[in-house]
Amino acid sequence: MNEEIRLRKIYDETASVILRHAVNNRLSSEEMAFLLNLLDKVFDCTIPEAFIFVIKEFQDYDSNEELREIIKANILATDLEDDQSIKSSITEIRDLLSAQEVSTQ
Amino acid sequence: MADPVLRQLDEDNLFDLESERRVLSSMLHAEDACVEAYNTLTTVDFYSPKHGTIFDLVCSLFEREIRPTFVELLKEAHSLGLLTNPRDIEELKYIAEQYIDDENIKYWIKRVKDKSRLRKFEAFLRHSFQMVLERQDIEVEELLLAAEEELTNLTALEYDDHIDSPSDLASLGYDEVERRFLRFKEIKELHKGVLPLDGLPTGFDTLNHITLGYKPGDLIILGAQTGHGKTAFALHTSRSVSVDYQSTVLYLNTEMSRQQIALRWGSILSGIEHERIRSGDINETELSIILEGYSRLRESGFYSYPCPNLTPEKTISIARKFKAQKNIDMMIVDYVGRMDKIDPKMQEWQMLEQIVKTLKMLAQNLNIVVMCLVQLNPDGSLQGAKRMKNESDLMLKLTPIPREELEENEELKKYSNPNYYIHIDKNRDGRSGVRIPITFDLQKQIMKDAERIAL
Repeated sequence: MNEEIRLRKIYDETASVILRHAVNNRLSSEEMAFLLNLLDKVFDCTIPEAFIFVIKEFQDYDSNEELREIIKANILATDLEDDQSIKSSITEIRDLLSAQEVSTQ
Repeated sequence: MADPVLRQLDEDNLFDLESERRVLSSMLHAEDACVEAYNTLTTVDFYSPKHGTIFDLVCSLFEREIRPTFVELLKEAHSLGLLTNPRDIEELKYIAEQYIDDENIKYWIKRVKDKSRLRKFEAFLRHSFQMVLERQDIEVEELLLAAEEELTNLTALEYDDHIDSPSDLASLGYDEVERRFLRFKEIKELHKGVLPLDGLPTGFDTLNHITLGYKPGDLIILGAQTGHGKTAFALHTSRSVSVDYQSTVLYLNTEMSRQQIALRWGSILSGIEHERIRSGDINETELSIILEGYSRLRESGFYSYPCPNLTPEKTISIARKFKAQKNIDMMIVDYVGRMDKIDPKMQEWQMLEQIVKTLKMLAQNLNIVVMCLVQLNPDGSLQGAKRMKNESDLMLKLTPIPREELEENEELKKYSNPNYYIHIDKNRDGRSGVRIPITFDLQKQIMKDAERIAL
């Protein structure tokens, strides 16, 4: 399978998984729209790596429920078409994660 | 006896779901495929109602200028409540994965279209068969003539053709005469004898008067020598149509960068010398005049598409896309001599002939005005001129007025500062062989009718 088709397959499969979760009510419409937009941006290579990295950090983090909700709301509120919005989200999420790190030490 | 035969046809031969899936999939993956399918197929060409719905959704996204990716399709279908269970999603994914090589799209579209035509033919057979079975008293001649007409519509008239019946033609003729009668009355009463235009304004009063404007379906060819105002003419026309008249123009430029085109507009709309704008040698008042000019451009219907590697095929694709998405009234190709050859073995004149034919076909099919710019030889002649002239509706040449003529021609002395002629070489709808004196300010890139000196 050539590389282009392999990428298309990954793209289609990922989009389907997101929508399946939405149809099964495991994702809200807002979460679905955000993830699908993010998927497009990742495949177009138009999203800063730092944003993806900070989301990964958040996923790996074992923070308390309240903080998770705050960070999640912050991520969902990010306008992926606006570089400034992405930049400020990265900063805010990093701040929230490091605040949590300090309080657990 | 024949019934089982027809049933067999229904089962085996009247649809091709694989081709339908492949067309839909390629629409999701390549813009060119989307343009081609959008312009060739309709919802009823799809046998599967679900495929028809997906085609509608993709076309709707495309018309709204949303790139119809798989994700956008999912979002659209979800928001319309069309995806209610995981099986629908799997089906969509299955369609999206029917990858084809983008270049093969025409083959798959033809397969879908052919099956659609076959279904119409089968419906015709069924209908005719039913008539024979049920109406024992029918006139054979009448039956055969009706069948022949229906069959002709299915074959020769499948695409764009249209035959006018005597009554169609009479109605059309009456409507046209009535329209012109009312317009003439309006001219006398409202416009005090000045003819209103039938099409888009040319940007020159005299040319407007002779042509009554550029009409949809027209191919206009403008020839000029290198450095003698081809682009200035194209942008002057664009200004007249898209800024002053507020219609929509698509401008394809094969030579200039985005910045160069944008800077030219600064000059055209402000009346300030192009060279000074380029170097930044302007004062604050001039800067605000230029900014005011750009705000008029912002509100206009001018779309620019700089495209150094333009081919006839790409031109078709771009024009169709902009017709669907922006409903363009006019397309200007600046200029055809720079377009790439599809076949390198082609002679220059053969290539020009092919391009001009393509552009005429586009003008008619999309019902828009197409203007193409060509380069004149140093002696003012045009390579392949006869063939080009045959295809065009209006052929214009922009040439400088020789100094001797300016000094000797008494008629020209009635004008203030004429320096160029627009020569109407061919005009399908009116007078030709006319030379219109104009003033072309090379510094400001501005053209206008040469003003008559008041006696």
